[in-house]
Amino acid sequence: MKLFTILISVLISVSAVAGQSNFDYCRKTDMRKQKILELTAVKEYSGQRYYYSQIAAKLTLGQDVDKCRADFLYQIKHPTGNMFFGLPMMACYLYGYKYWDEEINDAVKNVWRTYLPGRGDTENHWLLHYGAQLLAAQQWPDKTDKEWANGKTTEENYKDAYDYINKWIDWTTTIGTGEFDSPTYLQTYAGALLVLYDFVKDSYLKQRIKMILDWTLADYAIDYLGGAYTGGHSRVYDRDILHPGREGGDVFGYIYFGDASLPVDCPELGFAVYASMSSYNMPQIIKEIATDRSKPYMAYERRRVRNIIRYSDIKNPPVYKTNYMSKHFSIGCLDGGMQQPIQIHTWGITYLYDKGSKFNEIFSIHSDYSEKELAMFFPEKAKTLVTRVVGGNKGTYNKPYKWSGGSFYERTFQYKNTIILLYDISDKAFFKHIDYHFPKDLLKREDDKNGWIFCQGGEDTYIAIRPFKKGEWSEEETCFRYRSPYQQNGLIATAFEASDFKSWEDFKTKLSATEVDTSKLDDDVEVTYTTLDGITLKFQYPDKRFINGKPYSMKTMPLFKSPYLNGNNGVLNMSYGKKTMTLDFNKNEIINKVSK
Amino acid sequence: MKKYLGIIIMTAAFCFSLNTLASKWNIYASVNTAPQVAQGEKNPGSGLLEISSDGKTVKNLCFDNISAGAVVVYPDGNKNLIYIATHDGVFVSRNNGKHWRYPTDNTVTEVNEITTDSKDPSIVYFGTSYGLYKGTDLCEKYKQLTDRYVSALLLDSSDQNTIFLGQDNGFFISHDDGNTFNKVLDYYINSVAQDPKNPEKMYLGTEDNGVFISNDHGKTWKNCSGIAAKDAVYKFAIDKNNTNTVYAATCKQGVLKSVDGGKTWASSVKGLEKCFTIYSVIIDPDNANTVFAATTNGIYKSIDAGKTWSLFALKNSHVFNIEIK
Repeated sequence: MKLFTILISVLISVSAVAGQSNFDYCRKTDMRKQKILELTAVKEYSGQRYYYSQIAAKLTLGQDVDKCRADFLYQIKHPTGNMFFGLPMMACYLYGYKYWDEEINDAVKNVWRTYLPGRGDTENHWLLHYGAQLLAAQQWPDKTDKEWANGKTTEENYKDAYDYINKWIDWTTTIGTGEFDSPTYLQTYAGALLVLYDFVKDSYLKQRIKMILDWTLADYAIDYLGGAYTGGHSRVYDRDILHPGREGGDVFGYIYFGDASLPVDCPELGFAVYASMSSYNMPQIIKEIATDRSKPYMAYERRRVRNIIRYSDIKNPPVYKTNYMSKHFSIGCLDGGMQQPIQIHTWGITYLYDKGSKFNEIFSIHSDYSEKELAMFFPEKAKTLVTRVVGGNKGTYNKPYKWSGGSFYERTFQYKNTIILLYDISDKAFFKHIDYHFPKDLLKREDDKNGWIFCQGGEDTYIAIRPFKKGEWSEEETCFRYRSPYQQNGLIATAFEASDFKSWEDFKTKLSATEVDTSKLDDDVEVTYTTLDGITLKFQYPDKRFINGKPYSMKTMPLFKSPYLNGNNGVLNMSYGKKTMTLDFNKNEIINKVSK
Repeated sequence: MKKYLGIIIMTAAFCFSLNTLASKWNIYASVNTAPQVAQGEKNPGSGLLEISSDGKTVKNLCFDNISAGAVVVYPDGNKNLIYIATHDGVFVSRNNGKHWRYPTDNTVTEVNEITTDSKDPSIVYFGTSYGLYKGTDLCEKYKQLTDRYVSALLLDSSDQNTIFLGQDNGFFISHDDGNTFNKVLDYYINSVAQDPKNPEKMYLGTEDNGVFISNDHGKTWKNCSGIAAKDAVYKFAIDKNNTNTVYAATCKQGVLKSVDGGKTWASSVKGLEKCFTIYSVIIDPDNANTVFAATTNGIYKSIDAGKTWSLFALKNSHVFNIEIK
């Protein structure tokens, strides 16, 4: 009896922590989910037919059932989209299951015989592909090999999908993802995992999917600031950089964290709408981590480079992300060498403005491109790759004015709210200039005689950028571009809460007085900078970093390190206030605790 | 008059016999990217396409959306067995494309090269972005032999235990069926070929340094000079009757041709101006003057031994490889 009482007490205390007991948060989250559902249902689409997730949304709302049925049937009978086909289609089928009849059931079953969706070549593609394959194999366990386009048995298809999803979870929780912290592809991961969470029947995998969803959203939360996914990103499109907050991933922040308005123009909702239909409830501790910016903190992460297939003996070198989060801004960067060729975003200062309702970013880029860079990551003939990439949907890849992409010649060093970037651009590089992105919404932007560019982002953020070599300004539609055409180049970037200073003048005066030594830049690609709080940072390209004379290395960085998230080797510990939550993938269990 | 009539009849009979001969084979093209076609025009799709010898009939033997890199068509001598190397693994059909099986699992991806054992076509070797594999039992079982990007693969015609392997970091030879490899040359290799009459004579196509030639079975290599000393060379075609005639498919120089066993080379681009890259080249088995080139803009044909070219089939398709069977 005593044991029973203890057990009940433990269960009550655990459920109080884990069970989203905050009624108000849950109610408002449900309202946001409902809004996304309704927006998806009515969203105009260039085609005349409803798309899969729109059909699912409409059926959840009980709208236009006949047209949904007809459009669904048409699309199953005319399948397209390869890796983007299966999961949205199966999600539509399973979420709308009660509406379907034998004709639809047979058509969905049959499409796996007549259409062979390509698997794609990125991590998000594969999760979508194998997620869909797993759901289909689970749905029709009796299908023979003649009923699958790939000629495998249902058992083989199930195993292949099951093994891959588990392997991906293992990679993510031990060596990190390759497509990490992407405002664009967050939606694909979270969306696919939500669908899998709802429909996977295997209890072991279902638990792992719940845990990796928590992990993914916690990973987002630690770098989240008022609607923005901040710091370096593995993949981001130019459009998101110039018009931040319109990516599909941003909608998940709106739904789950609740402190930001709905992203501008309500962008792609195809995957975010699954959050509105899913039975998954995000643990509230993640929301608290995402939204409490009362104290600044450092967040460190170790991830990995996308699979390198050529010109390297190492397949997945580590990538190190450092991010300083403050109340009104974040400043963060990536390091670790070439991580992704086309869409990497190495560093940025994100600031909130309009009372925190909007955000934008200052950053720099070396517009590098090359056959070799692409050939490291894509299997096609090396010399054909630039043409193929530019001919696809990555048209800015070889342009001198692009705003996203990696460079062989760029390295970073971050200490708290200060980043030093160094560029040592080879003579072989096509472009040899550095472009700086300064948004037009900055309240102030002033060139200082000592070489600093002082900016104010919103009411609350003061930013100082110190290019090591001079450049020229030009004006563009949404930003000012500062271009510095030198091969041994770099900058200091630092940001502060405005409240740390008596005035704008005080800020400029103090920053102007800090010591910048670039005398060894041309010969040794080395600079030394003494920060406002007296810390001396020395950085020599590519990898010699010193803090007050002491060598600094990121090599021992775990997967997560911050006041809220600490994790490595398959375990993530979240902590906020008195609460802790542990995701232990080695034991496949979640442990919630509240300290006294 | 009778005399002329006789010549006319003989000529007609000769042409007829040529046509009859020509119609015995088809071209099998592995297509990576389906073309953009005008509205109302039929899209041949991607994958494995069978093209009649006149270029007028195109039939897709597999799914029309797969990205095929290389193919082995009918290695058993019957019109049944086909292997396709694809981005997603190895595809196998035992019944001429009626039914396909995809025996490889999620560990096998980006298959770039594929070839079969000449004595036992159920044994297959395939090169991926992550290494070389050997498959047995029609690839139902397979094992990984190396762990690096494979860009060229050839089984020795004189010794099936010898494998010639091209990678981004060099040229390697194994004499024990892939258990161990020795590095022979330190260049990025795109293709390897062997003289069908003299296995000692071999050709290598590199990524940046053109053509290399070996006369000692791949032990030592010498770089060609002139136009064949630069650029990427993707595939070779050697005339089986006159093995001094060699064609090389290149990235930016069209088709290179040598008539002296690789000593000298000339570039042929007339008619190929629209093609950014020539991926592969092949000689009509019945008529050495007819040569086909797989390009980024479809399949091109030359009827004058590579002097001039014209579009033959699959306009705007990215054709990676072609076989004639």
